[in-house]
Amino acid sequence: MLLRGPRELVAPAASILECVQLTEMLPDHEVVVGRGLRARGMVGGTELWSSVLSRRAAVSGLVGQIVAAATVLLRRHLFVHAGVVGVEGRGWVLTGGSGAGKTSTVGVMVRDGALYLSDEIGLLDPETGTVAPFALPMGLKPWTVTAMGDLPPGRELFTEGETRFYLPDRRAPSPLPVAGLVLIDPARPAATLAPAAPAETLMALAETPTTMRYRDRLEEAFPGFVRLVKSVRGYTLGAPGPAPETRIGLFELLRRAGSESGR
Amino acid sequence: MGTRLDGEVVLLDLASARLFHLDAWSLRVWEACDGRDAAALAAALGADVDLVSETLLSLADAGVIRPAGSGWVMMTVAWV
Repeated sequence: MLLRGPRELVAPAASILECVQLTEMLPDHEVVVGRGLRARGMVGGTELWSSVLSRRAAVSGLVGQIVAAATVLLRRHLFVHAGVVGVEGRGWVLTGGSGAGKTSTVGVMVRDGALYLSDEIGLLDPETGTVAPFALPMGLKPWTVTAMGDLPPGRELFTEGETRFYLPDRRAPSPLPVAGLVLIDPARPAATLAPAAPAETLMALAETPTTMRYRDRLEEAFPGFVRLVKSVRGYTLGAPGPAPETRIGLFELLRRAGSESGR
Repeated sequence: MGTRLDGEVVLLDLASARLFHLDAWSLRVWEACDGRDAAALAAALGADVDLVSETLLSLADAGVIRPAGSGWVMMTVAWV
């Protein structure tokens, strides 16, 4: 990817994006930020996207646009807007609506021993049944940090406004077989896990941003997600909250669920 | 396109890019749609005709059945 623009914008954005090591080769993506914080992304000379970045969140906005473009350019993998952690060699995909608690759940689990794959994007390979790392630094807001309690070991790359870009040290180096698909449900009591029916899991995925939102890939994405839903178990999970007792045992919950499912 | 998952069905309408979930009851009604009308379906299913009519309206709205004469038939599905 080629990224050009004001140094104070390009340098932190590049340092954040460099954390992602994709296993799928994407077409060359040229991104230019010009006057008035107008940003454009082009592939093969054709404009793929354009956006005027907000001054208060220019880096966040730029990184967000580039990540979104990457999900459009994927051909082998299916993407799902999700947090992903590794527990005992297997990947757990944590979906949920905006504000459901994906980042705080990922943070608590990584702090307690899970490997970090992503707090934003799950890259699923329906052929192999694996999920690949997309280790963008976690975007921590003040309320996320409150819900998490202590942060996992790691380093802060950049801060913009209220958002801290934080990269955990304990990261998965390669794809992991998917152990389960988890819907974080704000209506569930915190730190509780319950099985979800396959149809419920597939419908929950459909309500989350996934490759199924892209018309040109819908016909292949649907069977891919069906294959995944049929091969792994679905669950609903209550996210951790500000009270410390709600953070206890999340890692152990998934570890036990993984052992019971034998995958 | 559609898939069967533990006694339920999820259908994808490619034209509208919408997914529809048929629970056990909706699935029974949907699978019974072979040209019969609501009254005949209700008799065959041993169910209240108003409930069957309401379900048929939902299925028609979802585009998974279509009118055929005085009755209803399932739309063709490519199963995955």
